[in-house]
This record gives sequence, C-alpha cells and structure tokens, in this order.
Amino acid sequence: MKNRIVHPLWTHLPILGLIVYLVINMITASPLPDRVPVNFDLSGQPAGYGSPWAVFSLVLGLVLLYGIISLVIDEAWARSEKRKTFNWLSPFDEIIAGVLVGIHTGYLRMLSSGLDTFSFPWVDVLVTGGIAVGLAIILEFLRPFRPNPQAVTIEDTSNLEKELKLRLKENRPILYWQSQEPLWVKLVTIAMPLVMLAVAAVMWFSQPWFSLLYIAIAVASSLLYGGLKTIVTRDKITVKLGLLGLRVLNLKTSEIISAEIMEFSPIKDFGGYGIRYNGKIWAYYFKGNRGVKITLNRKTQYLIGTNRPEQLLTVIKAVSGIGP
Amino acid sequence: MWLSIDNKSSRPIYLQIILQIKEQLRRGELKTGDELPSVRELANSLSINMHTVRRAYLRLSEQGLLSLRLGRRATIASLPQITNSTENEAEISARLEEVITDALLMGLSSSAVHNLLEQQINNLENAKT
Repeated sequence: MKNRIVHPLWTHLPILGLIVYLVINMITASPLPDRVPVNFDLSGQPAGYGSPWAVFSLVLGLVLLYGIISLVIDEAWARSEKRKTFNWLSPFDEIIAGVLVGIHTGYLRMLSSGLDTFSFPWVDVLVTGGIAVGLAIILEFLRPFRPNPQAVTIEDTSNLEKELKLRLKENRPILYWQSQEPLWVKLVTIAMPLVMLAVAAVMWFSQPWFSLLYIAIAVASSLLYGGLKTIVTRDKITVKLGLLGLRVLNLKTSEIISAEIMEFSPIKDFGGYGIRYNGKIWAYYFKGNRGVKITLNRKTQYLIGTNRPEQLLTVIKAVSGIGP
Repeated sequence: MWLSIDNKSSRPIYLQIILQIKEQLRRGELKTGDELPSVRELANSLSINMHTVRRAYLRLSEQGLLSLRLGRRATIASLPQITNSTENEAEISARLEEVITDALLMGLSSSAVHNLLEQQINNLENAKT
C-alpha cells in the first residue's frame, strides 16, 4: 500500500513564509558583529555574549522542528477524518514560529541600531504572529476534505486459517511477523535528529547546555528507527519497538480469552500515535485506524495496530485456540 | 509474513522458507514493498540457524523476489511479470530439465515423472481455492 499525503501541503505556506521572512531578515541585517549580546536579564540588560548566527540557527531550528511536527499532526488529523472538521491544532506551529520570528526580528533591529538593551518587541510578535496565525486559520477553513485513499479492504483469510490449523496440529513451530514503519517515523528518526544535531553543533560554543539537550533529544528520537514490529509465535505475542528492538509488549497466548478487529480513531480515541493508554486499553500503533483488540483473562485489554488486521486476527486466534 | 518449519521433513529448512514465501507471494498475502523480518529475528523466533535464513534470503534475492540492501530490512521486490514470455519459459525449462534428469537417474519411469508433475500441480492449484 502506497503512502499518499491526504492533508494538502499548501496549508503549511504560512510557516514557509515565516522561514523565508526570517532568512531575508538575517541576510539584510548582515554583516553583524561576531560577538553580540545573546542573553538578557529581565530588565533587558545583556547577560551573555555569543554569535548572532547561533541565535539565528536556534530560531531556524526550532521553527523547522515545529514545522515538521505540525506536518505530521495535520496529516494524522486529515487521515482520521470522516468528514471535514476544523483542525484546531493546525495554527499551533504558526503561533510558536510567529512569536519566535517576531522576537528575532526585534532582536536584529536592536543589533543593527547599535543599542545594547533589549525590550520585548510586542509589535513585531503581534504582527508576524498575527498574520501567520490568521493565514493558517483561513487556509484551514479552505482546506477541502479528501477521503482517505486507503480504503478498507477485507482480506479473505480462510486459507491461512486452514493451513495454520494443520501446522499447529502437527506441532510445528510457527512465526507470524509484521511491521509498521510509516513515513512520519522516518522523518522523526532521520530528518529531525539531523536538523537538531546541526543546530546543536552551531550552538555548541555559545550555549552548551542547549546543545546537549538537543543532542539527547536527537539520539532518543533516532532510537525509534524501525518502527513497531509484531511477532506472533505459538507461545507468545511480542511487540518490539525501534532500533534496539525494545520489547514493549509480551503476552502469553495461553492468557488470551478473546480477540477481535477494532476500528479506532487515533487522535480521538488515544490522542495520537505510538504506545498509548486511554484508561481502558493499551494501544500499540504507528499508522492506520484498524487493529486487533486482545482481551486477557485478567481483563486487561491491548490493541495492536496493523495493516492486515484479518491476517493478524486469524493468527492470534489460531495460536491461542479461541474459536474460529 | 508467516512461516512454519517442519523439523522432521526431509526437505531442507532453507527450502521450506523459500517455498512458503513464494507461496504467499503467489496468493497475494505478501505484496511488493512488504518487509520481512531480519535474519536474526527470524532465526531466533523459529530457533533455527542464522545461516539457514541467510541462505534462503540470498536465494530469493538472486531470483529477484527479495531486495536486500545493507542496513535495510529485506523487502519484497517487484514481482516478475506473469506472462508466458519465452525468457520465463526457458528458465523453467532449464530447471525442470535438472529435476527430470535426477528422476530418470534414480530410475523413475517417464510416466511416473509425468504423474508426479501432475500431482504437484493439482496440489498447488487446490491450495489456492
């Protein structure tokens, strides 16, 4: 199944505009001195010095980061839509990016005017933030509803069931394996850490603590590489996460009392993607809106997301011996 | 993707893996782009040797059914065109030649080979429905 982007990319034009505005501002403000005040106390007096490019990289990095996050969230929202709904999360990145770029604009004006005292640039923040957020809200209203192209096809698994039963009867070892690694996981595990590491490298000398924090987040998010893997054998169901193959779920098949296909809304039912708990069900999925819900004899429920729910259900039923 | 290994079978394990993956491809249970477990994962889960799995994967990759790239998980490659092209026929005919030569060497009559061939085709076709 090919991944197709459901959420129109033009709704992200405001943040793109902010990036262009930020870069143009920086270019027109150049050349800047090598050492400028980069930290200020509450009264606006300089408290630390560094390179203006480090400040620029920090702002650019953060804006890119929120842009990527918003790209992922908006796409997830659009995919879970049954009809057009107003995505109130969509202007979130423009609010943060608008404020950051506004502050940076005011900061650059302070630098080029030769002053040393920083006063919070309310006007810039309100103008850039306001325009960007306003545009984002208008574009969100204009956004058309596109039905999710990944139409549900119900797979016939009677063959699989027949064969599995035969093999189980013969007492042969069995392995069922599947993985979920959608595009957004690749973005979060490769593209985002690269951006963060670049920002960390630039900031290393001026703000080592921020750098370290960025490196830590970059390394942690790259560990998700590889996505979620579900492995079913005769005795157990295992869900493994990421590069290190961390076992996030390990169920004994003998404890399963029922299993069924469950259709869910990732955002409304569980508030996102990943490993989730909604007070009743532990869920494990990186994409899609269908999975297999497993109930154990101690009443705990688990949901394993899958691109092939019929297959997974058939296998789970066969190995745990719970009816047809 | 699913596999089941028969330790008692006279058929080598790597061949069992190859045949099962091919069968799932034929039935459409595995599709182009689907990922397969890593050699280590598969070997551990089925308690078999990693070399056995690697051998099966390499063979499938030589036949163009699997794409193996360093640092990436094995994925199903785009499948060969299902046409009666002369190229496909030539390859199958070469493989059959080897099998039939073996059979005749073992002393099987040509009618026995015919019967076996028909029996196998029937088995596979029946599994489809």
